[in-house]
Amino acid sequence: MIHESAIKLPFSYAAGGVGSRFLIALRDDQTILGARCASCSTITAPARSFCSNCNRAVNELVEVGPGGTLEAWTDQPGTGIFGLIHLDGADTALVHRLTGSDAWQPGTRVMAVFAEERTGRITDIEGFTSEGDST
Amino acid sequence: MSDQQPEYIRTTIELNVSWRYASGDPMERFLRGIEQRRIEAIRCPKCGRRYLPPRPFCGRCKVRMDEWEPVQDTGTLVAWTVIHLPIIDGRTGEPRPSPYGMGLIQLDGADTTLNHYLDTANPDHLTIGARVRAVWRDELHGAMDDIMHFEVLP
Repeated sequence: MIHESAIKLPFSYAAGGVGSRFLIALRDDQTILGARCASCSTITAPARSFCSNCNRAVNELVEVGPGGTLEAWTDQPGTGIFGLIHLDGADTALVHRLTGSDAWQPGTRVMAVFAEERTGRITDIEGFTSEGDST
Repeated sequence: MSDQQPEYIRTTIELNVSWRYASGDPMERFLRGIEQRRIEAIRCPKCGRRYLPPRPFCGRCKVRMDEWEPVQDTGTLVAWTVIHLPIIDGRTGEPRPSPYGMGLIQLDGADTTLNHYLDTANPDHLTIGARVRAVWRDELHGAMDDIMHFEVLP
């Protein structure tokens, strides 16, 4: 005998100073910000407050993307297709939803698609579509 | 620089964690009985201890159990509490409306206690040793919540 159920886990995520600037830029300017380390010049996107190479605080935010290159992807049936996207100008990759194509390959050029209604969440980027489909 | 306070973002998120619980043979038999409004305890062939809810092995003798005995839907309240800050109810996935009572109930014919909800309409009646009875749903579907809660007998 198998029982199926679900537990709802409500919680609240505080984005912090740099994370808030990242989310506000998505919402208000439809731009994607990375954080540039003053010591090693690594640009981390999405922007975060510390450089993971140097463990130093990072304050300089720079615009990256909205185009990028797909590094890897996975299909989660019933949930969607998710990709690891290396945004142009960034040195790290971010995870987001892939939409509008079914021919994903490592190296596929992708482009961010912003949501019409934006509220300061990572889902203000609706997803990434293959660059050929975005025109 | 602007003299305004910077805006900080706080996002509320609700995760839905789904799960599947395989009941195992003894619990399956127990729940099939519940579906018929019949409660049974599993009995250790060695020491005779009657477990409710059932389990495959006797916790004392470490031997497999497969003998069953009928148990009444009345029993004795061994411990109780009234919960005002609810935890998530695993059966529904949502916090149970509070306050609500929980008790350890030793049903007549069992040697162990069952953890279940208590009717708190008259919280003054909740005492250790109180006699209680199961309040069943009208439509049974073979799950622990076929018993909605236990009420204190007058």
